[in-house]
Amino acid sequence: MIEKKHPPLLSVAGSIICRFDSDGRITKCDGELTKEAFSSGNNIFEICDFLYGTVESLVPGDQASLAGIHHVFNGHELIIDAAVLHDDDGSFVLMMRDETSRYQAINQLNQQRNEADIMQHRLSRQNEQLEILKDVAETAVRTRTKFLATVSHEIRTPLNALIGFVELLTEQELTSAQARQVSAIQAAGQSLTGLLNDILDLSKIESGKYQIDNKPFSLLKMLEGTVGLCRNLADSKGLNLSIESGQDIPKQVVGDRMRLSQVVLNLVTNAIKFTDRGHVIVRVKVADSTDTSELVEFEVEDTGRGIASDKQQQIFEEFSQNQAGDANELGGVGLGLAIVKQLVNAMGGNIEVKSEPGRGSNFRIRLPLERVVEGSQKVVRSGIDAAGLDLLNDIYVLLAEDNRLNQQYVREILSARDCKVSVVGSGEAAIQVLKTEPIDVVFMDVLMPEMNGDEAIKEIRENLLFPLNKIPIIVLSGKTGNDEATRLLNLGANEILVKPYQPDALIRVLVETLEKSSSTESAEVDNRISNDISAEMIDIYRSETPNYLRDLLLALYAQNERRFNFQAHKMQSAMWVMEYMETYEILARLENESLSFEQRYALCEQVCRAVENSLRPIK
Amino acid sequence: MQKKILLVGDFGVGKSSLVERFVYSRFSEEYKSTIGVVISKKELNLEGLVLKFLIWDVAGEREISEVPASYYLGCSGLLFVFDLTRPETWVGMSQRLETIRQMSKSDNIIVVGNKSDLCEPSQIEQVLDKIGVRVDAVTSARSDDNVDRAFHELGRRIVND
Repeated sequence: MIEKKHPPLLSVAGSIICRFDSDGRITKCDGELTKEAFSSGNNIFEICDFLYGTVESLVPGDQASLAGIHHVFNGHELIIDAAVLHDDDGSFVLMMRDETSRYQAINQLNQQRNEADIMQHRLSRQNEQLEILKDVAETAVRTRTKFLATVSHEIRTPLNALIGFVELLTEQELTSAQARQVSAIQAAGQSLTGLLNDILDLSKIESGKYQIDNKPFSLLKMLEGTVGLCRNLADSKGLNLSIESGQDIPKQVVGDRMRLSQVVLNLVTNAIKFTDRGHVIVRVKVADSTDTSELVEFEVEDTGRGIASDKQQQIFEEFSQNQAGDANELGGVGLGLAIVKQLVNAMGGNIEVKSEPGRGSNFRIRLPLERVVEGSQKVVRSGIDAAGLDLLNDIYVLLAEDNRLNQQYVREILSARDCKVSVVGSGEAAIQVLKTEPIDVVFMDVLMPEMNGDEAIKEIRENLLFPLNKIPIIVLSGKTGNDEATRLLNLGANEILVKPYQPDALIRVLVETLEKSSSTESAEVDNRISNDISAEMIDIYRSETPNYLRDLLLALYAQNERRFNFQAHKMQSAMWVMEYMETYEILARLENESLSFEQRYALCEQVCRAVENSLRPIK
Repeated sequence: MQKKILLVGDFGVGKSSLVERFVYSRFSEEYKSTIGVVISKKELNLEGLVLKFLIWDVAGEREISEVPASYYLGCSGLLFVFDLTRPETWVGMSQRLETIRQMSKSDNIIVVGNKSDLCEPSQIEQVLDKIGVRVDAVTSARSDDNVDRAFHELGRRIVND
C-alpha cells in the first residue's frame, strides 16, 4: 500500500539515491554505481523505464516500494529493490539497491520448492492415473474370470457327458476300428479337459483366488501315484520312468498334495513328451531341514531334446513353447510351465531348469514342507481300497439332475457298482424323495428348474428333521473356483464334484463322503459307558439309531400308520436300553396313542432333537 | 501509447512462458521460477494504433494478496493466468479476481487458461465448466496457441477503456 510518511533517506553503500525535479530530470545523484548506471540518460524514465506508470500514479507525499525488479543497466542485468517518493514540492526521490545476490539465493530456494511442488503434483496425477489403470485392469481380470467360469460351465457339462459315454463305450466290445475311433475321441476329450483346466487354473492364480491347502500327506505315495499315472505314456515311447528317493524323506509332510501332484505330473508329462529315447527320472531328497520342516528338492530329469539357454526363462511364461524349437507338433498351448511356476511360488518354493539342446533337461524344485510327527495326524488316503468300495454295497443314491445325458451317465456308473439309484429332475422332487425313500447320499446338480440345487440344499439343511437334514450331499457343479466351492460348502454341501468328471472321480468322492459320514467321532453316548452300557452297545446305538429314526420319519411323511407304529416300537427298545427314558416315553405315546399328523410331527421333532443331541460330538 | 500491464497467477502456470512466447517468440521446457518482477516491452499494432506494453511478469505467489500493492500502481490491465491441468490454480477464482480488481483498480482483466497442449479438448471443456468464471483465452505457450490473441484482447480492452 502507498505509505504517507517519508522514511529517512540514507545513503547506503551499494545504493543509489537520486533526486529528480517535477519534470523528471536528475538534479542530484549519490552512490557507487551512479556514473555507470545513469550514463544512458538524465531523465528518470530513460534511466529506469520500469518506473513508467508507477511514478505517474504517485501524488505528492506518496511513496512506492518495488522489490525484486529485474533491470538492465548498461548491459548488466541486476535485481534491485527500489523506492520512489513523490516529495511535497513535486520533486521525486529514487532509491535503488542492488540485491541480485540475495534474490538469486532466494530464487534457488524457491526453485527447489516449486520443483518439489510440481513433482508432487505430477506424482499425484500419475498415482491417480495408475489407480484408474489398476481399476481397469482389475475389472478386466474380473470380467475374464467370470467369463471363463461361465464358459467353463457351459463347456464342461456337455463335455462331461461326452467323456463319460466314451468311457462307457470302451468297456464294451468294439471292433479294432471302432476302438481306435473311440480312443481318438477319448484323447481329444481329455486334451480339451486339460486345456480347460489349465486356463481356469491360470485365471484363478491371476485373480488371487488360489488357496494353498495345507494338509498332511505321504510324499512318496503322492509321487508314486502321480508318476504311476504317466507309466503307460512312458512305456508307449519305450522310456524308462523311475523314482529315486533319498533315505531321509519324511513319511508324512504337510502341504498341498493335489497341487504338488499337479506340478510333478506336469513336469513328468512334459519330460516324456519331449523325450524320444532314454529315461525320465524323478528324484526327491531333503536339501535342508530344521526341527519342524524340510526343504524338499524334487528333480525331473530327462534325456530329451533339451532347451536352448536363451529360451530357458521364456518357457515359464504364458503361451510359450520353446523346447528345442516348435512344439506345436506335440500339442499344448504353453500354459503348463507357467502354471507350474506360479503354483511352486504360491507354495513358497522355487523352480529352475538346467538344460542343453540334444542332451536333455533337469527341472529342479525346492519346496519347504512341514514334517508330520508320526502318530500326530491321520494318514490321508490317496486312493480307494476294497474297504472303501465295500461301502458302496447296496447304498441308495438320489441323483437330482435335470440333464438327461448326465442322468444316464451317473446312473450307469453307479449301477455298475450295485448302487440303487433314484433320479429326479429338480430340487423339489429331491426333497420329496428324501421324505419317502431311505436315501443314503444325494448327488445334487446346481442349475435345475423350479427349485435349484442351492435352494434344495438350504431346505434340506434347515427344514428337514434329523437325521434327514444330515444326509450327505455331493454337489455336481459346472463352475470351478474357491469362491464357488466355499459358497456351496457354506450352504451345506459335503463335497463338490466339478464337471466333467471321470467315473473314478465320482466313485472316489462318493466313497470319501460315505467314509466321513460314518467316521467315528467321540459323542455324547461315549460318556454313558458303565456297568450296564458297554462300548459295543454304544457303537450299535450310534450306527443304527439314525437309520431307525429316518425310517420313522419316512413312515410319518408317507402317513403309513402301521409302518410308523412299528418303527416307533422298534426305537423304544433302543432308548430303553440306553436309558433315554424321556425319549422312550415319547416313542411309546407315538406308538400307542391315536394322534393327528401334526401331533405326531411335533413329537417326532422332540425325538429327533433328543437323538441328535445324544449323537453330538463332545466338545 | 505506453501501458503497463501485469501477469498474475500461481507459480508454475506459465506466465513467464507466455511473455517469452509473446515478446521473443520462443519457449523453453526448463522451468525457472520468477523472483520479483521481470519487466519486458512489446509493441502491439491494434488496427493502426501502436500500443507499447510494459509487461510486468510478477512472481507467482501462493496467494494473490501476497503480490505487493506497489506493483499494481499505474497498471492498465492484467492477465490472470491459470494452469488447465492443476485445479489448485483455478479453485476460488472469482474471489481471487475480485481481490485483483480491488488492488489494481482495473476491470481490464483477461482470464487465461494455459497449457492447453497437455489436455484433451473434452478435459478443457470440463475444466471451463467447473471454473464458473468466464475464461477469455485458452492458450499454450509451448505450441503458441492463442498467446498473441490473449495479449491483443487485453490491448483492445485497454484502448477501449
